[in-house]
Amino acid sequence: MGARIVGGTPASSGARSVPTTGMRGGLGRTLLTAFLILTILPLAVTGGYAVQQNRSNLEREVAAKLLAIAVLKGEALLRWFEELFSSLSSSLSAHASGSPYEDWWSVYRHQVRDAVGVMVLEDGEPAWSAGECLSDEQALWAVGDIWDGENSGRGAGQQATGILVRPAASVGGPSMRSGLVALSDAHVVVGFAAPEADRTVLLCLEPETIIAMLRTDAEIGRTGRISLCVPRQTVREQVYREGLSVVSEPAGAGVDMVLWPGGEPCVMPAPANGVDTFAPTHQLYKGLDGGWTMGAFYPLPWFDRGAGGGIVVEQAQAEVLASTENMMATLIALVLAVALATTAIAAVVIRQITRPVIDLTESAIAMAEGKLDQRLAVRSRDEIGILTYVFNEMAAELKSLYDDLEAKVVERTQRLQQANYQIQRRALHLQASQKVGQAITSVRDPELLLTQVTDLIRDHFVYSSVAVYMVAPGGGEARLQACSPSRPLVGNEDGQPALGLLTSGGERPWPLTLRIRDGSLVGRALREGDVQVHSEPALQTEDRQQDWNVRMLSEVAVPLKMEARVVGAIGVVTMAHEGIQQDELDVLEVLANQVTVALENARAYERERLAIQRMEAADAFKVRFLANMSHALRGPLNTIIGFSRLLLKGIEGPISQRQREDLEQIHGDSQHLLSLINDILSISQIQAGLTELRLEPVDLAQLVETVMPTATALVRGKPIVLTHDIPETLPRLYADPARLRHVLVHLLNNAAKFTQQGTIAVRAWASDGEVYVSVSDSGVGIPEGDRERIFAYFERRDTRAERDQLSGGIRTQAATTDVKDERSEGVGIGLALCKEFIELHGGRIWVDSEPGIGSTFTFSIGATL
Amino acid sequence: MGWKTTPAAEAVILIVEDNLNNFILMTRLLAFLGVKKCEWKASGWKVLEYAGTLGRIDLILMDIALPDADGYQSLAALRSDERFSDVPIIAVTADASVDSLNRARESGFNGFIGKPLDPDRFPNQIRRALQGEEVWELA
Repeated sequence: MGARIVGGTPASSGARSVPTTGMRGGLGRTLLTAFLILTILPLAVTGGYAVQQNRSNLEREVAAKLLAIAVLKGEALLRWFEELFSSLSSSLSAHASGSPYEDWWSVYRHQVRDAVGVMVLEDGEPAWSAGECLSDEQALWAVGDIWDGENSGRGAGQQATGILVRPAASVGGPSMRSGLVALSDAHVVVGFAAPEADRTVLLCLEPETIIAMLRTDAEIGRTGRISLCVPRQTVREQVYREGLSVVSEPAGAGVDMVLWPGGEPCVMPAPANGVDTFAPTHQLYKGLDGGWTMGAFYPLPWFDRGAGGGIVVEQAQAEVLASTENMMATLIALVLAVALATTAIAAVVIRQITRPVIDLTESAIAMAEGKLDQRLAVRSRDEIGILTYVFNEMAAELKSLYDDLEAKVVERTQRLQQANYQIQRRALHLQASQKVGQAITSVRDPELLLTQVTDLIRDHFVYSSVAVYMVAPGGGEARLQACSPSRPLVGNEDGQPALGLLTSGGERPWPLTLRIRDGSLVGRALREGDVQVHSEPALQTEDRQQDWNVRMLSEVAVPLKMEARVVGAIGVVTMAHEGIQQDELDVLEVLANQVTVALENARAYERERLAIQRMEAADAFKVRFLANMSHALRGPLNTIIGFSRLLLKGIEGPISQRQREDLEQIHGDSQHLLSLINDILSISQIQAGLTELRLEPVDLAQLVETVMPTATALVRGKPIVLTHDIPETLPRLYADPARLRHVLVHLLNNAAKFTQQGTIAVRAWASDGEVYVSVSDSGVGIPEGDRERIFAYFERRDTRAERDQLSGGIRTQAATTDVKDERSEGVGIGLALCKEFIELHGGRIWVDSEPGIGSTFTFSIGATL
Repeated sequence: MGWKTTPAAEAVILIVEDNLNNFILMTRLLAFLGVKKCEWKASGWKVLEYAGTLGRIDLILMDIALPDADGYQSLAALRSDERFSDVPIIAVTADASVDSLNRARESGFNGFIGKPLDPDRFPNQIRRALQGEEVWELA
């Protein structure tokens, strides 16, 4: 069970820590514990139990013995007392009354040889005494006690005794009282009251008489003794001498008991139950010397005042149990011997079992460290032997498996490397694809795109040379568009055979043009529309040509196909040991598709760009044209208006009414034309994005005030009431005042045009952070279908169909823009311009109308903060 | 303004205008007003020199869009000469926009009358100008 470090070098043992010390010997401990639990513990328990039984048996026996002795001795004492009394009684009866007591005594003292004195009391008074025993006072006191104060002739002081024994009726019989009067080391005084009750005899005896009676024939060992347990007063010398003067002492549980002879305090307590005071009992108690003592008690009937008293037989427990101590010692020795034997056996067994197990463990550890050739000698023909044999088998199996595994690992590693290589190739292809994709999306110029693509393909696939041919218009030829490396081309410009013209560096001279019908690989790809591959061993100088170094020269042509049409081809020349592979071809095909799409995109983009350029130019031209045109138109108009007005004003001289009417026609239409031209100019500016609002705080009330005179002029001559209602609390607008004014003027102008009579009202109010301005009229109104369209440019509503629909109905504002002149109807550009202006302000404009009742144009613009 | 008030009948007005018809229209209207002397310059070419030959000028009506030098250049030339630094010069242009009006104001014109001229109002506008008022009207 020794802790052995198992393992090779310290380094290896450190690397593979084996829990040797902590676990070795575990088996031994287990065995030992099992033995202890299964054998030693029951042995100890059984032995202990037996000893304990023995002890209690012994105690019971001794207690019984002691009790028996106590009973025997007690009864012997009482019997002796009875005999003494009966002999005294008979001798006294025989003694003639009146004759001297000397005669009686001389006869009787022979019957009680050990008496040393006698006293006779008559009627409670000492009458005669012989020998040394008690003084008169003592005698009187003693007798008084015997009679327990029933002697009426006694004085009060004499009656105050009560500590002495009194003969019990059961002993003395009905006519005679007797009892132990006093005990001392010198005397034992017994008293007898004669039947006639007038004469009492006190006999003084040698103590040895009673002692002998108590202690003869009692086999109670070395420590055993037999004593009388009496109240202390009974044995006090001075009690006898000064008895009459002794005051009463309390009786009961607290009575001081002593042993006689000896005078030691009597530790045997009174029987617990006061009912059966006279029942013999035995007890185990602490003796005076501090040790346990077994005692038996036989109560004597003399002491009946609860003071107890009787015969005590006691013996030290140690002596009683001395025999069991030997037994215990034997038991312990036995247990220890068994334990020792068990340990020894366990050690031997463990050594037998663990040694091979440790060997096996060490071998297993060595195997775990890779030393697979482990063999152990089979030492024993038991389970351990079987285990060792199996272990050897297992080790051999493991070794062969391990060897097999290594071969497999080598094989797998090779496969993994191949797969890895493939993955790397794929990654490269993917990268190339991605790069080409990037170039395709970022490069718009087709030529630059092709150059980049050829470079990218050559770089990423490590090709010798890459070129792109595009089919020339006509389809008979293909032209070289890009090639990489972009070296000066070698060779003639005619179509070259596809192969066999390699230069020493491996680059391929790509002809500038090639005919699709020639035999070249690119030509075939263009013709047939699928991938063409040709590989052959590369030509090398003779002396360097070795099998292991033969490289494959491969040429590939991938068509660029736009749907079914072949638009070009990518040509590739490469030298590689493994030749060109299918996955590479797939990638090239994908790339070719990408290139095709990119070329098409680039072309589409170019077309788009040109179209946009043309459109932008057209737009700019349109704006410029409109501006210039309206400007140019205004010049002559200016003149027409001016001169017609001049004529109308009569500045040039008087004119006839007919002339005036004609001139007014000219003047009116010119004005209308001018406003149209102005509107067109404004709209062209808005559409060209040239209009910028000059935003500033606008006081709407003020603005309306400035507009009203114009409006008044517009309705001059018509029965129309013009009102405006702009609250002063209206928030200020942040707007372009000129444009806002334009809108207001136009709306008023519009209202004036279509209202023949009634009212035209301008109102404004604010709500939800918006300012609303409305111009209402009581004009002809607008049918619902036209309310959206009147805000559109050049929206003519007087088409023939509409006019037919409306015939007989209500003439609408939409149907004509000028009531005064139907010929100029139909161009609703003014409202469209209003809409543009309001929307430039971020607001909106709309119309509510009821045909025949009137129209209300309302616009809203966000109020300033 | 500190300009002197000139009676229309005595006023000499220089009209710089490339459109003959416009010029004629203006002279007719001015005649209606009572103005007798209207001088015409049909381009921006050497306006200052021409003006210098006239001796007295009470008002200049200046088109903006002119051949050779436009109205602003001509204005600058005239203003650079102390003889014309106080003469009211009013821009009369077909570009009757707020932008144009503001630019005219910033450039130092004394007024702005948008084309087409309103024959009803034009004589009054000129009368006010001759009385030393600044006239700023888009149309």
